Amino acid sequence: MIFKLANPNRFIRFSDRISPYLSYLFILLMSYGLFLCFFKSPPDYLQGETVRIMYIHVPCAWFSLMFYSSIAICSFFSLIFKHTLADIISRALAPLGASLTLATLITGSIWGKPTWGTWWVWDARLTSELVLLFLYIGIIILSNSFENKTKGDKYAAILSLVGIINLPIIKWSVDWWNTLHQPASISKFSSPSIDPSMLTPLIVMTFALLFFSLQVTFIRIKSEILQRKIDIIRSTELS
Amino acid sequence: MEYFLKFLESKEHLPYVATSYIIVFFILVIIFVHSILKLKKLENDFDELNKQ
Amino acid sequence: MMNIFFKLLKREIKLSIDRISIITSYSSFFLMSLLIFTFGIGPDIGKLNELYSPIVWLIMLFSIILISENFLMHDYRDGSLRELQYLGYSEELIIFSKAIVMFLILIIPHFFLIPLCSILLNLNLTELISLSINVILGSPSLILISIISNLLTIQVRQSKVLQFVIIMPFYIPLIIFTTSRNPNETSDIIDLNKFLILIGFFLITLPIVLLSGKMILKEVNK
Repeated sequence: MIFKLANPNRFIRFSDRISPYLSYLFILLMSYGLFLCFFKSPPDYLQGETVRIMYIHVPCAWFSLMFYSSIAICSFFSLIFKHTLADIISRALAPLGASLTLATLITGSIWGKPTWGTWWVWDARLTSELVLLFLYIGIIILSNSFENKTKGDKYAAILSLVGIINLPIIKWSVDWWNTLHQPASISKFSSPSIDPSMLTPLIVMTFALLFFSLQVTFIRIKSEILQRKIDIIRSTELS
Repeated sequence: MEYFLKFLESKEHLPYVATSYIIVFFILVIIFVHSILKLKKLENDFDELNKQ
Repeated sequence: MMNIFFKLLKREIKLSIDRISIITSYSSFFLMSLLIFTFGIGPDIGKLNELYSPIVWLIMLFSIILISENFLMHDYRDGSLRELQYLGYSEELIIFSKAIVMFLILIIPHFFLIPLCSILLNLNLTELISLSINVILGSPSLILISIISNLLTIQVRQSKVLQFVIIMPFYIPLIIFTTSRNPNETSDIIDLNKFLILIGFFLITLPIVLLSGKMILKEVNK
């Protein structure tokens, strides 16, 4: 499937076909998620109403990590297998990932004030998330610094692969160091320690954000493909 | 409904929660609108180039 | 292989001797920044003594970013980087030899800069020894990371800001570990664990930089 969709025109046809469904799913899940967040989720016994920030903060954090991993995987495919769409997908994902990382930091900061009494603290997870934002900004600036897009993509791919070391630090920082940030409540390897009345809105909001991100990614990939087609036409006209 | 009404009455935490949601939606709307506008512009440019 | 490496090393040392003014620019920047920091923080010797490690590391960081370009830009502009590759020298050896020479060039001014720091920042002998070992063990990682950022931005005009943006995510963990201080630590004890962490950093950074540097050099010389 991955190599079948390497054909840009085939990818555009595929994304045009599923885009409407992504939009419907996003609207549906976001509405249901917000309903669950505000109407069905109880306040936390310690944090009170501010626990509702979790339903927007945690999905943003998950996706900030997921998109960086995706960029690193695409970079690997681009450098090793020379997959035609891998660079384009990296370019499309980087600004979205940076926005979600920024959203994570801002909502985390707002959540931290009533919970910890401070807007910011230099603990392992927050610092490594900030480092992730710098990595995203570095990748975006580097890939756009060259007139030759291929060169920019290659350098950005190398930078993203080198920066992958930051991801396990973010993920396990709360376990390795004695940090202010709470440890993970949801794990693949054990049952979640979070109540179902809070877990359900969290999962629903996560999927809503997923479909939104997929929609935006497909739009940006289509833009990149069109940009490259335009560049080819213009360069053939000049020659 | 009960949870929502209690939430609206909580003067201490309401500003924080509301601000977070507004900021996140603002960021998501900006990135969505920017992507759509860029795509529309490129589609117009591509159609013009094809016509020439 | 060792013959080739020593040939490259000899070449780099010869070139660096021709550009010996790098040492004076590095030293003068280091000194001026140190003075500015001490004037900024104030005459409180206790405060200066507490902050000596972060001050020295910050100044080193900025100095390395400023002068690291000299080791690569000239070779790129006059085509030597491409020529070395065409002559069959492996990219890893080219980068490694540059890193070694850069380290040697930067260590020389530290022989008089670190004792000067000890006077200005009121360090005792143990702190001085600890700082010197810190610098010797930590600067190779800083140098390797700066080489990578230079290689990535070598073809970009006005790349200083971009270099800084690229370097930041990799310097932050290193700076955190080099400047961290155990609150129970007294100034009479040398913390060996910190040195082991710095050696570990270097051992992790070296293969990553050599591998990624090889890919970047191949792309630069295309």
